[in-house]
Amino acid sequence: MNMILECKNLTKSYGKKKALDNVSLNIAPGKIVGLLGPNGSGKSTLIKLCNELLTPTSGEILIGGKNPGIETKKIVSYLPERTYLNDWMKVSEIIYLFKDFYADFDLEKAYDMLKRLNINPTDKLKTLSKGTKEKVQLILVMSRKAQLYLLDEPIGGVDPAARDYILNTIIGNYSENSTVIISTHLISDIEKVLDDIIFLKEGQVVYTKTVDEIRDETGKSVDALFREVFKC
Amino acid sequence: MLIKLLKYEIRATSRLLLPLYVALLIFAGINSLLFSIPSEALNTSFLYSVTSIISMVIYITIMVGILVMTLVVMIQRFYKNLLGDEGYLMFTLPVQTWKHILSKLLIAMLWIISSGIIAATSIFIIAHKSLPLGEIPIIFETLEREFGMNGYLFSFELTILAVLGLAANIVLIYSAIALGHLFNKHQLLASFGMYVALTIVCQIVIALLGYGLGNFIEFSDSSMTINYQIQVLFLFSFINVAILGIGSFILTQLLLKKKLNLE
Repeated sequence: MNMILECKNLTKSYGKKKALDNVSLNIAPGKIVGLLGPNGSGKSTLIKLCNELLTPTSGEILIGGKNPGIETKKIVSYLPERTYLNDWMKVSEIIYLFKDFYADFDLEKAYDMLKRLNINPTDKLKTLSKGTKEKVQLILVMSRKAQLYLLDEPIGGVDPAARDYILNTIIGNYSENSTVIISTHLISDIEKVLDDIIFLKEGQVVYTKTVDEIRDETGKSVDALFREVFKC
Repeated sequence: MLIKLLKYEIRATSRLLLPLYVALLIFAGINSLLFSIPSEALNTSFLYSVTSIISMVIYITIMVGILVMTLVVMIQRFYKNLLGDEGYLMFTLPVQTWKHILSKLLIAMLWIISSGIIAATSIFIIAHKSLPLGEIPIIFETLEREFGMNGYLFSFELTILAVLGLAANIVLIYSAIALGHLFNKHQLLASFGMYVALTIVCQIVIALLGYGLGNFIEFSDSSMTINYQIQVLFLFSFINVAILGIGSFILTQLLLKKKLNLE
């Protein structure tokens, strides 16, 4: 089967410190994958490398068989861990920006989600609270019909009620063609939607399993296993 | 995609500069009106003096504001929109890096040139009676008669050179910012340092080229007309500007493509 995401001996160093150390991964399409690990384990670095926001020190990334570039950006929908919204647009304007640049953007879906989350399209981005900004970004990202969603801490800053809606939206997008990679340390919240998990520790992959395997082999939840593997 | 980038770039910047342009032209008009009042009618008026001083001070303040804002727009749109948090959005759009740079460049040039034209227009509004505009044809005639130069061609060449020089210098600033971004700390300071360093390098290169040109063409050769010498100088300047601009553009493009490291 063709992999949607392949990492081959991927290393990223900042000075002497290795944020990612010889990571090799294969992710098949049609899965919801949890990229899990403590702070500073290299989750964001890996996702940013896939988006060409960082350049690898060595190794290679292939997304749908291609190195990160224009063609991969057309099929990857990325939610960064910070807000990238400017301070002068209205919510509706940033939505049209996405519509303008991404052929797979579904305007109707975006407006529907805004309505569900009680966000006024005519509000200025500048006036939104931090949590609402995160919701707007998530709406932008999830309104695309992408092949690969890379979600970096998608639920960190939003309230539990919105969290449920967002997780349902993520599952709702699930199709045979699309893959979702979610990086987070709020494991118990997302555990129920995950198919596979990847544990990252100090820049290295320490564990890749399906959630079913974990339950069958260890009898533990992902959350409990995480606490065991990363015990301080 | 370039057209779309340009559209958003204009929207992001016009809200900062257009209000200032309007304000400048309004105060130029007010000042012009105040000047046009016959002086004998108001020598004694205290109110008139205060009003005209205040409106002149406001006019000059707006003029300085436009200058500062134009420079801020030029630098900030590149630094903040591409290398700050907004870069997370810009660089994940399916757009080639060179289009990002070109869109920033073209719009920065648009505003610098517009600011210049608006400033000149406002001066014309205030002082059109005392400007020696009628002298221009006489200057052109003198150039033609004394040096065999075509004044219109000369102005045209000078304009093109100025526009290209502007573009080259903006891209030089971009490349300095991109270089400064390679540093882990004090990126703005590093960018400034890089700008100084790049400028010095360019000066050396231009001096060396100039030395080469000096050897190539004997300027004291009396058989050469002044017009010919000036055309050679133009050609030399065009080549300089082209090398500077294209070199900086390629450098900036490479840095953003191969060395991008958004924190």
